[in-house]
Amino acid sequence: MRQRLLVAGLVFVCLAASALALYTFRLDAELRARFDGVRWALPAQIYAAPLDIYAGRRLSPNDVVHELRRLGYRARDTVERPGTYALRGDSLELASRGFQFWDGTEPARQVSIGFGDGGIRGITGPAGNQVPIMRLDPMLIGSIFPKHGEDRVLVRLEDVPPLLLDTLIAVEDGDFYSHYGIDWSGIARAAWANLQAGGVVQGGSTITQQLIKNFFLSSERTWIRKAKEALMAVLLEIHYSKEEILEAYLNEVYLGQDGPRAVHGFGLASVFYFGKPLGELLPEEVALLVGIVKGPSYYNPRRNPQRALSRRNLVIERMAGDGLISEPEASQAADASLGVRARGDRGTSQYPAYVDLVRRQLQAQYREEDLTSEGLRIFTAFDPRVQAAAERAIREGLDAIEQGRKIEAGTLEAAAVVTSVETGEILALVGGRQAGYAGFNRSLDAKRPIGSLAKPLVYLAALSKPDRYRLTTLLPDAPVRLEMPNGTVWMPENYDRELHGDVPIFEALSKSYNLATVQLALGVGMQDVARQYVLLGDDTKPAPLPSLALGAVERSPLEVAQLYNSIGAGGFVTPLQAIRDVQDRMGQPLERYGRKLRGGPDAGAIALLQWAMNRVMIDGTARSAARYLQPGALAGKTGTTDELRDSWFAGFGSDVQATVWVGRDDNKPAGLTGASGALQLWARLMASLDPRPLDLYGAGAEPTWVVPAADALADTACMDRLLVPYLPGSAPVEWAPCARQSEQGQDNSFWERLFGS
Amino acid sequence: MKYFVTSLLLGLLLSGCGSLRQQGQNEPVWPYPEPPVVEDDGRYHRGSRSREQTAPDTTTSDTKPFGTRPWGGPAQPLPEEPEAVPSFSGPKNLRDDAGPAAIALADQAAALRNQGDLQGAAAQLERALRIEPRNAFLWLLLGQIHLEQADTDQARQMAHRARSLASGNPYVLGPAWRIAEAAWRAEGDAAQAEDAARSAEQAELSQT
Repeated sequence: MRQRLLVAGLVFVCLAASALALYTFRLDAELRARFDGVRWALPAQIYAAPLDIYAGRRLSPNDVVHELRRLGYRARDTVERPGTYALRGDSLELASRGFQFWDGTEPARQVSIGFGDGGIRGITGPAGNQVPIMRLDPMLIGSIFPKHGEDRVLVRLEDVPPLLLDTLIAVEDGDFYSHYGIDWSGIARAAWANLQAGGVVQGGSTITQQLIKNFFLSSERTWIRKAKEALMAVLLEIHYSKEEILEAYLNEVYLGQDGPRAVHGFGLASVFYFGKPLGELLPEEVALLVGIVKGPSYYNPRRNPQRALSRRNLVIERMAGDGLISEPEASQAADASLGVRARGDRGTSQYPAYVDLVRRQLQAQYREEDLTSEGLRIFTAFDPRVQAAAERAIREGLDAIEQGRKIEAGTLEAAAVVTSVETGEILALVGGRQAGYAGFNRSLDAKRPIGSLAKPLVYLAALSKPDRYRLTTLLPDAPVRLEMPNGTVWMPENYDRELHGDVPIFEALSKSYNLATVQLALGVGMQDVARQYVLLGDDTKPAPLPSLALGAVERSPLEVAQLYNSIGAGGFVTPLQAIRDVQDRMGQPLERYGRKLRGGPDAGAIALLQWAMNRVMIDGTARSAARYLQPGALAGKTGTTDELRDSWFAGFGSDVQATVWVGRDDNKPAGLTGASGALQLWARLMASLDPRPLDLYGAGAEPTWVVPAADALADTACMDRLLVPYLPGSAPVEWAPCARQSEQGQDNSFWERLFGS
Repeated sequence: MKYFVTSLLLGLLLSGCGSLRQQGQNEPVWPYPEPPVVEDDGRYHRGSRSREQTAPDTTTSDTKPFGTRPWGGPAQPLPEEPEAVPSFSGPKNLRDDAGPAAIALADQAAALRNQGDLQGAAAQLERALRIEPRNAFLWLLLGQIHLEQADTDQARQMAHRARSLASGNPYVLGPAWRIAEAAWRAEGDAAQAEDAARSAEQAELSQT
């Protein structure tokens, strides 16, 4: 009997031992599978365009310093460490960070940038050498992480400052380098503390155990889980070096929450809280990050600054106590403020409209899980300075309009798209009045009738037939009555409900006369008008109905920007794009979105159209823009839709195009014309961008003095004369009645050449 | 054929880029920076005056400028009307026409191209074009890269863009038509290629 019991007991022990062994074996396999292929879900990171710095660029010291601050550079007396600068008069000392771009490595540099003559005079290296061009590291503007997902910036152990490692180990796991995954003395200390406190107040977990917990287990505090955690920690220590474990921990540990985004790892935490890379942290900043590990929510420095501060100073004391920093350093650090940046330096929160556009373009090519986990690095054309200007123009412009016109505050909405005319790159995107809030992205999704913004395409169709139309061809601004196929009668009217008689083509456009435009469109043919949309890069050809001439076609601000950018680009169409390059997580190039050109409308016709659209600014519907800027050589067009629901303006200089929409989300009348609404915002925006002028008599057009109302040649005897461009062989040949056609006219033209009028 | 055009073009466009053309001897290698020329619009003024006196002897065969040799084949005698051709005094290559930043980037592009990294070269040239979007020589270089990438459509478009910015400069028009010619030829369109070749020859006659 006793023997049988003994045998049974032995069998049981054997079974239990082998079960435990088996379980350990399985755990081990699971652990190694997870750890060997340690691939964190790395959200795609989206970067702004880097700031190119070179002699001759029109940038003020303030512009550069502004950008440096955005990138988290610090002003210092001595500029040695990367990420610091000093502005001394018109010379900027700068220690830049290096960066691995898609097209090569930009080294960290120590330079002196000289300013003068309204721009950068030169860049001098440490040896007195001239640097022809350099670029700053690009700003992270967002990442594409899964809903309620983890976000992180991976760091390698050798890139982590020693002070951070030493402090972390001192605070979290003093015996890290000597224990085998479990720290018995630590557990004893914790148990004693817990016993004294009558509850769990101290963890006693090693860094290894914390890593296991973060990796595999839920945060419930049960004894079973504790045992499993301890077993796995020992297994982990058997297989992997201390360095590997520490590096994994640094990238895995949870350090904060940004809305739906979980901030993991010290690399991201450094950017999230201080707006700069890990390597540039000051002692007090290191102390705060290490302090947060204990409870990212409880010690949230933004929400609970007082708690965070005392926790940080506790860590600073520990640093000094362990001799990691000197006493004077410690007291200096303890006196420093928390230094945490306002929220949303990164993440998706600051530029949601642009990040949204980038994500949509990527979704066409990549699987969602690749975007949220493969650590792609996306380089875009986003220009933070242009974006700031656009957001400010919209905010201040809408406030001013609502106040000035007694419109209920906060009812107007707006969107803006700014593009580079020459490159077709999208520089900035504003999706709504509160640009920092994700939500309805009006720049992409508000498809509204474009009204008179459609008119330039009618005139382009006409001017592309120089044998039939020139800028001064006279159009009848006369009633139109069209019976439609469905039996209804279409009778458009002018905005002022008046008839203007015979008007030159360019004036019909600049004053935005509906009737003359419809007459012209019918003369040209609606098919031809519709074809201009395709020629200018629009994706869908609109139906060739007569109402198309007056803009009965719905487009988003981005789609309008494509049309107007193409007009600005002078005959070459570049599909608008936001993304320049995509790299994989190792920095290897995956895909480049190179410059693409397409033949567009005739360059000559475009040049004439640009001239006419400049008249819109000079003495047409947009002349009020002169309040904000010199409209001299800019071009644009107002757009207004039925019952003043939509207010549009789109226009350009030779380098930059902007499209602005103003209206209401409920599609009720906003009470604004294109000129009283969108134009006001556009002009504010363009004034701060300082666009370069257009060449108004380019592409082989011949400037000729004419009397527009007579469509005839003029000389100095004519009062109402204007210098109008004509394509070769298409200028008027008749003289206007006012012209004397005498030698005196020639004398005068000689005089004028000298005088420059 | 394609490689011949290619090397001639790059020789012309990137002339002076140390990474492409070695200047081993003392004998002059074409082309030299042109003397500064100020036109009404003030655009052409970057040439250096210092080497104005050392124009190369255009008759010795080895140092003969590419520009006076008809493209796409061995040297042929020039048609006999030199006086009818106005001498051109604008920029003849990138170095005459671009600022130091764009030149530095074009040099990097040349180095990358030498390593066989055409994508990288294109990226550098696009960066240069962001700085000087209206520099016809940069467009030509980018067009040439597209040609080497067998993207004939884009090569032709870029050459077209360069022509639209040429303001009659035969040193832009000539190579631009040669790129177009090579692109048409690569696509097997002999007639279009011949047309382009004729336009190129026309432009090259004006190169002095």
